[in-house]
Formats: sequence, structure tokens, C-alpha cells
Amino acid sequence: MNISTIMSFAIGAILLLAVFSTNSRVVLNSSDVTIDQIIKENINNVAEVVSYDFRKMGYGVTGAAIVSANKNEITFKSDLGNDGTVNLVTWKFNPTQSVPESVNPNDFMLTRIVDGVTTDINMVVVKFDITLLDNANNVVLNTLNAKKIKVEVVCQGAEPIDGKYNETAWQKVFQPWNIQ
Amino acid sequence: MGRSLLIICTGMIIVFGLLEMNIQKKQLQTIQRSAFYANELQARNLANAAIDITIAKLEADPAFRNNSSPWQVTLDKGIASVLIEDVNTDTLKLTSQASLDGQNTKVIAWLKQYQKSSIPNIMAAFGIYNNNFSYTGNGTYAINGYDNDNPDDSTNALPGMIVPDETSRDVVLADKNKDNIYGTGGTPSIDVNDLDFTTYTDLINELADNPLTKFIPSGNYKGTLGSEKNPGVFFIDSYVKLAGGLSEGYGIMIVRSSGDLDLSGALDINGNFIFHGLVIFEDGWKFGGAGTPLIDGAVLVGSDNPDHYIDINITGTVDINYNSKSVGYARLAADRILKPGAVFKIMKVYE
Repeated sequence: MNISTIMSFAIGAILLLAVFSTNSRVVLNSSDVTIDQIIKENINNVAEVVSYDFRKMGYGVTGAAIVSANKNEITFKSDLGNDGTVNLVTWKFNPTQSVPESVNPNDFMLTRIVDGVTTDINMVVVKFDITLLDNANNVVLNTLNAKKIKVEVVCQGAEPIDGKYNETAWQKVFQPWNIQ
Repeated sequence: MGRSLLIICTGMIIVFGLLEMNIQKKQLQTIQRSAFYANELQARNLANAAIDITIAKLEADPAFRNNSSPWQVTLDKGIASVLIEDVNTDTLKLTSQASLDGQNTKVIAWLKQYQKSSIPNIMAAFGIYNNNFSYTGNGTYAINGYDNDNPDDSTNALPGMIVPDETSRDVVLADKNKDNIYGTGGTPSIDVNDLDFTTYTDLINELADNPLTKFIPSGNYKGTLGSEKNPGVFFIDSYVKLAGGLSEGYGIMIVRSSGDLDLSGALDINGNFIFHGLVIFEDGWKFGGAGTPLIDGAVLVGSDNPDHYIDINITGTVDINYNSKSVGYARLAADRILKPGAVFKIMKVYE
């Protein structure tokens, strides 16, 4: 073996090590990004369903649209399907009921109930806060005075990365036409 | 060595290139998701903005339906199409659809149509819009704010008189016959409000310029003054004496400062001439009444110059009664000429 061959092997070995090192970092980063994407996907799904319901709040309803509301639960009426039938819609986040199939200890059960039919929203939701506001953005407790509804959702990853759970937040203030 | 190194470097470039492409692909997915959300919101904004623009279009032309085809509304970020459908005589359904980079949204709005009126809300049987005036209520006149269309129902009752400030109220209260002013709030029924005659000045000018407005010629007038089904807009800008069998008039009558309305001739014949509608005295009070004439609707007197002095001297046994139905004749007459259009209010929205 001449000197050039030895040098080639040495350089090749260094480069190979660099590739392995980069690859391991990319793999780690990739799982981080993948979990992040899953969290974003989850929160998008929650946001989409929440938006679908909340935008229609009070549609086709005579009288008060919001039946009851507190920090973690809201019940309102709406003709969700635009079929002339007024539905009773409840969004409920129970911070005492953990999700059995989740390894994340922070997430709790978010449920959507339409006319008594319950759908569990199992999207690793760790926070689902509802705040009623009037037109001047003051917090109100009386549902009759509510003109806007602020919704804050935080989702975390199902699995930890380096012992920490990644999270993503979504917040929106709805001002449904039909409760103005 | 050179060739081997070249091969290794090429291999490395390919490997790193593949890694970079994969990383970029993941970033692209994240960006696409954000763009998807932004486009969806933008499309929804487009659809809602198109509804607002369509409402403005309808207010300018309430009959606009775009031949029952979707109306294209072009906005900065895209195009929305709005289909206008009649639900019933005063309700419309607007279906607005917008698309942006593959994101489609549909917003349905129900609108209720309200007819605009050229005449502002009437606030009393007799409105004095100037604060520079004198007031004398001679004879056995009566001003009554209770709705003559349904006297037993006090829900539509108004004050007998309305004036622009407390000083003006004191002027009327100083009159010995002030107790002939009836209406809400007790006798004498005189309310105070921040009144502005310029709205009526604009109305008068618009009506004066319209060819459908009838100017009553000076002297004795023996023609018609509208009917219940066809109330009119009548202008008096010179001396006019209503005579010769006239017993009733319908609509809106405007007496300008240079005009002079004398009902005594008509009343001599009929005894009780009744005008069903609104009588506006602009810049002056030139009203002579004898017998028992009745203005069944409302009377206003004022000037666009609040300092203009007006001498209000109610003579004879003139009665001025508020009547919501008769004010309706005045509205009908003015609206028929001015065509004030309609306003549309959103009743409910499905999005």
C-alpha cells in the first residue's frame, strides 16, 4: 500500500464518521420534527372541529344561544348541519380525567357532545380554556352578555424527547354573527 | 489518491445532498400546513367580504339579482361568487363562495330588507326646531301627541310639542294657552331634545327639485291635495287660499318662508278641512286658520339657520293631532318621489 492509498482510507474514514454523526443527529432531529408535526396535526384537527362548531354558534336559534359556559366547558345551540334542526353542542375538557391510552401524564379528555352523542377528541390536549368576552373584550360570566368566545388549546407530544414533551398552542377569538 | 478522494467526495456530496433534501422536505410540509391554514382563513375572509360588498350593491339597487346568476366579486386576493336568492318578499339569501389556492369556503347569509324612509322619525305632534322664536297660542287651538290613529293605545303616543332647549320650552310655557298642549309627560306636554332642522332642509331641497312635486299656484286653490291611495308632495311658496270644496288632503305639505297658507276659505265652505300628513313650515310660520281645521299627522317649523327668528302665532280653532298612519302618507309620498332605497341587515350567517 502506498501512502496515497493510506491517506485515502484515512480521509474516507473521517468522512464516514462525519456522515454517521450527522445521520444520528438527523435521525434525532427527525423524530423531534416528526413529533412536532404530529402535535401540529393534532392541534390543527382540534382547531378545525372547534372552528366548525363555534362559527355556527347560535345559527338558526331563537333566543339565547349559549346555554352554559365555564373555563373548561361550553354548551350552546346551533343548527350545525343547516338542516333546520337545532343541535345542542357541548365542548368539555375534564382536567381530572386522564386519557388511559396516553403515556403523557399531562393530557386529559376533551369531548364533543352533539345531541347526546359523545366523541372523544384524543389529541393529547393538555389545555382547553374558554373565556367569554363582551364587545369591548371584557371578560363576562353571564352568557347573555357574551359576544365573543376566546378558545385556547395546547397540545403536547404523546412521547417525550429527552424527557420533555414538545407542545404547540392555538388560540382564537370567535365572534359568531348569530350571537351579536 | 486523487481519484479515490474524488470518488469519496462525490459519494459524500450525494449522501449530504439526500440528507438535505429530506430535511427540506420536512420543512416544506410544515410550511405547507401553515399556508393551508392561512389560505383557508383568507378564502373565508374573501367570502365574507364579498357578502359585505353585495349588501352595499343591494342597498344601491334593491332589485339587483344578477339575473339569478352568481355575481363575481373581485378582491385583491381573489374572486368570490355570490348568488342572491329571494326567500320571501323581504328576506334574501346570499351564498358566497371563494377559492384560494385550492381552499374552498362557503358562507351563507340571510338578509332582511328594510325600506328606508326619506322622512326622519317624528318626535312630537308639533316640532319647533329653532330656538329663536316667539309663541302665541290664541283661540281654542289644541296640539295633541296621542296617536289619533289609535287613541286608546298609548304605546305610540308622543309629546304634544318638542323644542330644542329649555329656554325654548320656557317660551312656550309662558303662553297663557299652554295647557292646550297634550301628550306624553302630562299637560302641557313639551319635550326638549337636541333638534337639527338641516335633515329637513335637505329633504325640502330634494323635494323642491323633483318634477313630481306639485307647486300650488298662488291665490285661491280649488284642485286636489292627494288621496289616501295617492298622497302627494305639495309646495307652497306664495299666498295660497284653499277654497272650493276641499275637505281633505294627504301627503306632505311644505310652506316656505315666502309662502302663506290660509285655510279659512276652505273651512268656510267645509267647516273642517283635514290634512292627513306632515306639514313643514320652513323659515317662518304663516298659517291662518279659522273654523276647525285639523292637521292630522304632524307639524314642524324650523330653519337651517338656528338664529332665524320665527313668530309662531296659532290663531283660530286649529287642531294639530299626531297620527302615525297619516305620517305614513307623508312618508309614502316623499319616498315615492325620492326613492330612498333599502337597507339590508344580516339576520343569520352559516359558515
